[in-house]
Amino acid sequence: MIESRHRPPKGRPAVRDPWWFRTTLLSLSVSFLAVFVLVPLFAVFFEAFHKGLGVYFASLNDSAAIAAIQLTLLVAAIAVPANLVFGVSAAWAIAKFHFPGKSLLVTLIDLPFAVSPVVSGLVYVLIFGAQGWLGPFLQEHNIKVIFAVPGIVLATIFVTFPFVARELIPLMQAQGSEEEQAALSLGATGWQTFWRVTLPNIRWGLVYGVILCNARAMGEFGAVSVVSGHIRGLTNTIPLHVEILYNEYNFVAAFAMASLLALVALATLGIKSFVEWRTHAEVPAKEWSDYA
Amino acid sequence: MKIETKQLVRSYRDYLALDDVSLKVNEGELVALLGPSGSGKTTLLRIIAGLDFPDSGSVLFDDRDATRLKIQKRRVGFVFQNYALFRHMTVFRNIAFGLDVLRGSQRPGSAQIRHRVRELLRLVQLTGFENRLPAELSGGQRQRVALARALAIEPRILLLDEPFGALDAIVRKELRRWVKQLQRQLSITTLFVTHDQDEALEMADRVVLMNAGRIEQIGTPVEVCCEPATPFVGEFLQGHALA
Repeated sequence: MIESRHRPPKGRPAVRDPWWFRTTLLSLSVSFLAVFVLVPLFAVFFEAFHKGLGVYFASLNDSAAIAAIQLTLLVAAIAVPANLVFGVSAAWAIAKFHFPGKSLLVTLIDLPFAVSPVVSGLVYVLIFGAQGWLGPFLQEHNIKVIFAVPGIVLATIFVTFPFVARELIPLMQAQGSEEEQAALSLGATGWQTFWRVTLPNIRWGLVYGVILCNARAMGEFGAVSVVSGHIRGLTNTIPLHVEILYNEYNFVAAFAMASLLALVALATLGIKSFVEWRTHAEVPAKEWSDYA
Repeated sequence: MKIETKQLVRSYRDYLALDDVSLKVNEGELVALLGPSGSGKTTLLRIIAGLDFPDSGSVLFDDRDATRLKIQKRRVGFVFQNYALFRHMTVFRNIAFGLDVLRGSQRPGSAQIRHRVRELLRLVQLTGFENRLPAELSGGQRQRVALARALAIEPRILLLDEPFGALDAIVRKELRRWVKQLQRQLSITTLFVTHDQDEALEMADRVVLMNAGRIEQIGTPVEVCCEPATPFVGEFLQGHALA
């Protein structure tokens, strides 16, 4: 028999790399991770706390710092739900309908990933700025977009809109629409079908997309920096405030603010691993393939 | 319920899926739509279900026009080829779904729903499987859950798309006999799609042979076997004698 001749020696898998190769790869990735991720993360918290807890909390209790935190939360509270609704609708349309221009829509969703954030910010200045297309109209009606909160929200929405849609499109495509058709044939309305069948099926993908979207919305610097105008206590988000404090050589305060963003990142990673663990626990990988 | 289709035509871009298909199915009959893949049998089933709509022609339920009737209003029990069970719901919730989504005074109380689901589970011989998820069932069990779910809404007709296609040979044989028996017991008008000649000849009261979007012959298994109406029918059924 051909098989028996090619059977690997007992107790040793067919594909197994020599020990030196495995050790090199492993130590390479661990040291890379340490230098580029762990050390900076440690540095943030070290700098923030090295003059003691009192100084740390005092620098967070500053009125400009509180304003920056509030603004960041406000922006995320608008941008994330907006992109949640947009992402679900776009993913639904792309995964379940056929229409002309579908591939164009998919490309457009990726645009914010491809464009430099600074450019995305500039686009809004060109449209809404004093010298921009809508500038005269906005001034006449006394509406401020650029160098104000609306501009920051717009820029943030633009930069973060691929996250939810990107997460859901492959998921919904893989699931197809047979379960929805089954629900309709059993008498469910379109709305009932969405809430009872579609949404539960994509819930973990949705959570995943939302937390990534949120992390980016809170941490975005480039696009927001262009449209914000850096007005202390008014149009500074946390990342912008960090820069200002740092440029003023106020290192402890700068790193204290930065530590908040680092905490958001850590929380995001925590939720992300939880979601990954849940999706695997729910349906074993093997079952997915034969159930699909 | 009686089903009738009149001169159905359905095309997808430049591909003609159904070409002038007229068919009558009598009350309580078990009819097989048999043909090679691409013959239009699934399209016909989906149009009768209301999952697809014809370019021209009509569908009648008990002599009443149902061509444009929405799927929710048709009360058809549809069993999908891959069952399309709700993967995040238990067997119980799957079967109860059609009752859960009823609104207002039409929705039975939870005790009544529980009673009905128990009854259906007994009917499909899955008592005790209420709390399993679809992923925890075998192919044959999933198929029976799909059937129970479709029957829960007390459908006027039952439509099965390749009901045994995803099962292994032994389970398939068992289920064929069981489904036929169940259909007799409920005496519900039933159409099923298959590309398996033996399956159609063994189960159906009448066989509808389809090819390239047209009906080649309609007849009892004996008729289509012994007196093929077209060369295609003769060739397609060659070597498949009646059991």
